[in-house]
Amino acid sequence: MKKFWVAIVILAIAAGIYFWANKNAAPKYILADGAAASSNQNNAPGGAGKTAGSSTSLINSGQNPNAATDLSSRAASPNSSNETNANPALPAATVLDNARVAIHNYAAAFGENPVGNNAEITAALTGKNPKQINFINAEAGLRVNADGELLDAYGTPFFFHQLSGKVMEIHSAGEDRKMWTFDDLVTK
Amino acid sequence: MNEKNISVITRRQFLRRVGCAAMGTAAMTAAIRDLRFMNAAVAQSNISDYKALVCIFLQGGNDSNNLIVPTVTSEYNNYASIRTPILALPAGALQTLDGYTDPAGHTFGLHPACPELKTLFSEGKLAVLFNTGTLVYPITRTTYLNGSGSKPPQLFSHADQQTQWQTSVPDQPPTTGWGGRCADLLNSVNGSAPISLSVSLAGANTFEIGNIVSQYSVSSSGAISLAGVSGARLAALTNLLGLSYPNMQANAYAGVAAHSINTGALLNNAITNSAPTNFFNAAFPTTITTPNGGGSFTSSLSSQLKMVARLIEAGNRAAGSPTNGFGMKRQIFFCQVGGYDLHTGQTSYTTNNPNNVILGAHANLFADLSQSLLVFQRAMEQLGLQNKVTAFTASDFGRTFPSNGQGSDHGWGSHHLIVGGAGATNGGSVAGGKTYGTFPTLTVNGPDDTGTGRWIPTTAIDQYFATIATWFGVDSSNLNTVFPNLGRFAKSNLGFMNPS
Repeated sequence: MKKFWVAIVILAIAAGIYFWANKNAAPKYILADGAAASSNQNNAPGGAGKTAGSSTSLINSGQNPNAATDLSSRAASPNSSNETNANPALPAATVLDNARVAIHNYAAAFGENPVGNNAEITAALTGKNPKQINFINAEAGLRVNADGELLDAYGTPFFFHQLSGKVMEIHSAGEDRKMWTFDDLVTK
Repeated sequence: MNEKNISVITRRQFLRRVGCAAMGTAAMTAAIRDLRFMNAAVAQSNISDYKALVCIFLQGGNDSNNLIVPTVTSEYNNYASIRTPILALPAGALQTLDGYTDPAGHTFGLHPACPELKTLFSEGKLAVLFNTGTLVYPITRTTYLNGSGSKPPQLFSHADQQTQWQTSVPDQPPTTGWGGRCADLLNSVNGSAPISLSVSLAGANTFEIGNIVSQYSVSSSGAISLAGVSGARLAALTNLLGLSYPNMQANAYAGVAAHSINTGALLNNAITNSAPTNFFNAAFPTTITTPNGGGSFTSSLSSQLKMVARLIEAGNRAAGSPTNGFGMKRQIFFCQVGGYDLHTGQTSYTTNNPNNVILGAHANLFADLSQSLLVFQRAMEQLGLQNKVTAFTASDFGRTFPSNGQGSDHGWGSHHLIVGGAGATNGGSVAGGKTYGTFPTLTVNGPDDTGTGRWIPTTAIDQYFATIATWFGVDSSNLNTVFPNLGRFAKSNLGFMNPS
C-alpha cells in the first residue's frame, strides 16, 4: 500500500513537470505591426492610422535564433491574462512603462542599458545580447514592426533617448503619432 | 607540508589574502603611475614660454553635418535630398570657403550663421577636423556591423560619450581627464603660481580632473565668493579660519576654506588690474544677434570666453608688484555651451516658410559660437597672445544625417574646429585655412555609416587631442602616458598645429 502511494506521488510530480515544461515551451509572439495584427488591434488607442510598417503577420520571437532565455515575464503586465497574444487593450502608459521595465531588466542583467537606435535596442532586448535573453513579449503590449522597431500602444516606434548608460528616456509619440508634441508620453 | 597548509586555507582566509593582494597591486600600480608622472613632469620642466588651451564643449551633441556642408553640386544635391527641407541648408545661403578644395576634391560652405568662422578660415586661423569621434581601435563599417570591431562602451549615450571625449580613454573607467593629465605633467613649470593651471568656467568637469592638479572653478564674472560675506564679516571669518583647531578634520577644512578665499581674492585682484581697463568689455559683446533675420540673445559663451581672456592676460602677466599677474607658463580652460541636443526644433523650417531653415535653435548656437570665437581671437591678437592660445571644440557626438522629421538624433563622428594664430613662419599656432581628416561619404548605408546616417569616425579623438597636446608642450615620450590608446591609431599628429 505504501509503495502505491509513493508511485502516485511520483506520477503526480512527473505530470506537473510535464505540464510546466510545456507551458514554458509555448511560443511567444511579438506582433509585427500592431495596427492590423488582430481584429482587436483597432481598439488600441489611436486605431489603425499611421503605422511604422506594413506587415500584419505575427512574428514568433523564436525567429531570433539566439533567443534562448525568456525574462519577459518580469515586465509589468497588469492585464497579462493572454499568454500568447498581444494585449491591445493595455493603456498607452502601461505599454510605455512595460518598455521601461524591459530596459530596466536588461540593465539589471548586463549592468548597463542597450545602445543604438530603436531597432538596435529592440534587437538587444529580444535576444541579441551576450546571454541571448528575450526581455519583451506581447502580453506586456510590446510589439515590434517589420523594421524591428519596438512600438508604443498607438503603433508608433518609441524614441529611446540615451541620457547615460543607466538612464534611458523613452518617448511615445502619443495619440497623434507625432513625436515631440503635447500629447507625448515620456518615462525614464 | 606546504601543500597541506595550502589545502586547509579557508574561503574567508583566501578572500582576505586575495583582497590584500589586490589592494597592494592597485596601490603599486597607482604608485608606478604617479612616479611615471613625476619623472615625466621633471623632464617637462624646461618650458619657458606661455601657452593656453581653451576647450569649448558643445554639450548635447552638435549636428556638424550642418556646420560644414559639401558644395560640389552632386554632393550638395545628395546632402539636400537626405537631410530633407527640414534640415538642408540652401546652397545659396552657405558661407562658402572660397578658393579652398580639400585633397579629395571636396569644396565646402559653412552654416549661414557663421560668417565669422569663414573670416577666420580665410585668415588661416581656423582649421577644421573631419569625422572625429571616440574609438577604442580603428573600426570599419564591416567590422562594426559584424561585431568583430571594438566599439566604445555606451555609444550614443550623452553622459558616457561626454566623459569619453574628456578622458580620451573610452575603454577604461574614468579616473582623469586628458586636460588634467596634461596639467599634471606641466604643472611644475608654473612654479608657485597662486591659481590652478586648470580653470573651469562651467563648473566641475571630467576634462580637467588630474592626479595632482585640481581644477579651479570661476564664474564668468570672476572668482566665486561666499555670498553675503564681505568687509568686517570676511575679516572675521578669515581670522577664524586662521586659528589652530585640535580636531584634524576641522583644521583641514579651515585650511581649505582659507586657501579658497585667498585664491579668490588674488584672482579677482589680478583680473581687476588687467589693462586696458575697458578692453574686455569692449571686445566681448554680451548680446549675440543671429544673422539673416534671426533674433538676439545673451551669450553665455561670449561671457565665458571674456573671463578666459582676462585670466589668460593675468596668467601671462608677471607675478608680483607692480603688475600683480600670475606669472604662469601654462593654463588650461574649460567652457561649455548646452542646447545642442536638438531632436526637435533644430531649424525654424515650416512649409509656409521653408527659407527659415537657416534660422532656429541651431542657427542661434552657431551664431554664438562663430561670433564668440572671432571676438576671442581678436582679443588675443590685441593682447599679442594670438600665437600662444588655441581654442578647440569638443562635443558628445555628431548627429544622424537623415532628419527625424524635426531635428536629428544621436550620431557618432563629427567635425570640429581649432582656432589660433595663423602661419607657421610667424609663430602661429594653428595651420589653419585647411581641413584635416577625411570627409565622410554622406550616404546612408555608405562606407562611413553604421546604418542610419551615423558616421563611423575615421579619426580618433586620441589623435585630435594628441596633436593639440604636442603643441601645448607634452613631448613625444609622454604622449602615450597622457593618451594610453594613441598607439592603436596610425598617426599621433594630424598636422593642424604648427610646431612651436
